[in-house]
Amino acid sequence: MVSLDIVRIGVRGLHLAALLAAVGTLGFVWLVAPVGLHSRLIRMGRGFAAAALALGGIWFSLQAAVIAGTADWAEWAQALPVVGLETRFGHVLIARTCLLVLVVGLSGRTRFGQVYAFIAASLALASQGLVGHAGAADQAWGLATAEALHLLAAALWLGSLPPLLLCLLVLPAHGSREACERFSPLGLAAVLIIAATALAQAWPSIGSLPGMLGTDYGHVALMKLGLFILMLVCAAWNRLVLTDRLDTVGADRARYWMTVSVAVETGLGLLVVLAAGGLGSLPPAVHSVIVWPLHWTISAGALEDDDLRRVVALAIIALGVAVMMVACGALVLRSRVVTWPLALALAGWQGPTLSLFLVAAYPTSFQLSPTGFTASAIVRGDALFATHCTTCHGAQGYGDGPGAIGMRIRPADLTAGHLWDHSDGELFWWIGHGIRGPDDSLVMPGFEHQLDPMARWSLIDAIRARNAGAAMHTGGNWTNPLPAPDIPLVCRTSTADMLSQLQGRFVRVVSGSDSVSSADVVTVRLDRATGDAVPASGCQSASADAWLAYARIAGLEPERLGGTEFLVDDHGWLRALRRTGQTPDWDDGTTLSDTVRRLRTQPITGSFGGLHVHKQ
Amino acid sequence: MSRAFIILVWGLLCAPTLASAHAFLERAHPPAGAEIHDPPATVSLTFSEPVEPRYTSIEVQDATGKRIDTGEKSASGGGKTVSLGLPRLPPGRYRVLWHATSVDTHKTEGHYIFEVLP
Ligand code: HEC
Repeated sequence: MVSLDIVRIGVRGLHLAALLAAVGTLGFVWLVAPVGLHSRLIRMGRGFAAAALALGGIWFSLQAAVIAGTADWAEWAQALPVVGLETRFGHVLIARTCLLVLVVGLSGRTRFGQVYAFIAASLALASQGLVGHAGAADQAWGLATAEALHLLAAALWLGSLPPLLLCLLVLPAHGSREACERFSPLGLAAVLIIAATALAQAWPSIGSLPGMLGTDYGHVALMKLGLFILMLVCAAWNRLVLTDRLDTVGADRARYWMTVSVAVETGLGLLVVLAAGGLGSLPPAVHSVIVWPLHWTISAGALEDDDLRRVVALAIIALGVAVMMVACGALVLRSRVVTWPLALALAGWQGPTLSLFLVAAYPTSFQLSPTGFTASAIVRGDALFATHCTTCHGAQGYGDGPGAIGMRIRPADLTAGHLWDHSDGELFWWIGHGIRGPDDSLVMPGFEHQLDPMARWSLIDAIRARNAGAAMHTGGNWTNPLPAPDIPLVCRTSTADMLSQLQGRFVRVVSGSDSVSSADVVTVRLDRATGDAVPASGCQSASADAWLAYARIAGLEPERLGGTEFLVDDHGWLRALRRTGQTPDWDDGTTLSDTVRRLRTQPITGSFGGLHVHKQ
Repeated sequence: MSRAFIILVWGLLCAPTLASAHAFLERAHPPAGAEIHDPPATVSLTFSEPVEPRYTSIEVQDATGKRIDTGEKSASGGGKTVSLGLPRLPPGRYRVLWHATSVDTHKTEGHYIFEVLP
């Protein structure tokens, strides 16, 4: 199936390339209007449209097999009309086929017909945004418009290269120079639009630097960017150097090189379009598992330390000077004797300092937990902790288990604040692959072969919940931003099925006690509903795990949780805990409203489990 | 450059944004892991983006793995929500399996469990 996937992605790219060339060529006839090539260019544009039509048909059939999930001929044949008539993809491709038939039919006729053909081809191209990632996203119209603009601009530049090549090959010196000069403002405008719309589209799909470096999608995007830059180099050479020489002395040489350069640019353009086809077929980086390719990453912690920052700034300046010296030596060749050795010395002196800026990273460092920090994940992780981790880390996680005795490197105290310096992704790597000591031997074993990934992610939730509970128990507050563990609910007055779906409102989570309901907050009872006992207003937990998980983050034994209450803010963060009998009493309506109002003005800035971003 | 700025930029570069583009399960009724008394009349799944109802399937199995839903499927919510009819469920554990095809033709799948209490 893999090979068929590659064929499908390739056909998609070629279809797009033919479409771009059709729009570009028909536009070229109209906008650049080289003298004496009219009918040949029209024939060329028509040819591209016909190719796009044929390739579109093949793409449709191959994609239909994927949509219908079949590898069987008979099923596939049956699926074709269904996909055509019942899916968005089918509708768009049928509309596109009609438009392309129009293009082929109209473009031969009058001047009017040619303008209509250009418009029809542009519409066919612009609809691509509707069948790609953009069309399915939340801000679909914005993104689909950006993609349509991107493609039209690409057509004006890349799609114009084949007709430009034709001009260079057959027109006399003067004519080809004129064509190049008329084309260049068009090309420049197109390049600017391409760059701007590319940025607008790429960032929502790539999302982060790790997304760029650690996913297939990011790699293909980088490749596309690199090819685009090479194309720009060709274009700049054509415009700035060669065009002016096209009808002066040495014109033959200039024309030869220009032809070569435009041909290379066209080839690069085709590769760019194939890369674009690849991007459309891959899951965007924001939905892929990021595999960080480096052994280190820049440390946010180092950035926060004033002294360290000064040292690092000095190193960056020194290295900047070194780079400038290298450049200087390259430009003024004679100065090389002095500048290059100096640059080397500077780099040797300050280069190693940069390592202060870096911390170790692992392939999973930037992966996010898929558990959603649910109460069930915490409870499941807790059970696994008891069976796999307590021998070393101790029943409470203090690092004092029976197995710890005599160990050279003590098991970490998992209740210490240090835990929050590590992302979920880092902890995930350690629990899976173990931790190595200074002599590179394993001081903690890895559990990759005993525990499946979901179990390992659950363990991380359990450790964090335990750590938060310990901080609450000893210090009376949570030291790090903590989301309310998510629980399934049964609600009488709301459509929410989970605690997280109540976001946008403050939630008062109560255990056992009967509380007065209030307009400011939704009340959620932690004890699992029994039959009709769901409160008339508010919600009740629909899982026995809720009670256990909330006891954990309160730092209490489950049988002592009764009467404790929690306040969750409108973004799902836990903000306050109130023990039985503690003042102020939240049943007093005004106290609770005051607290809610105060918390609203102090939103949490920070993160949980993802990359560590320090609070200000 | 102020420290806050550097941290902000690095944070932005590394902070994973959660934009949409594949159909992920955003809401489920009954929700994953629920233990409920009133048996639900339908299973209803809401995805992060519109799906092709024709090529999006849901199946509900009982504890023995036997398919027990009525097979009546309907879509709503601008193509984001797909519901499936259920017979009256006796107490027990049920597994919901789903396969979604989003309008950009990408496929996703998943499953979860809920329980009807006596
Ligand atoms: C054989 C003993 C042993 C077992 C079993 C063990 N650990 Fe560890 N663990 C260690 C040691 C030793 C360290 C400290 C390593 C270091 O400081 O370099 C550690 C460190 C850690 C850390 C790093 C904490 C930090 O803040 O740096 C985590 C997280 C952790 N262990 C989780 C677990 C989990 C979860 C389990 C059970 C699945 C587990 N460990 C089982 C010995 C063990």
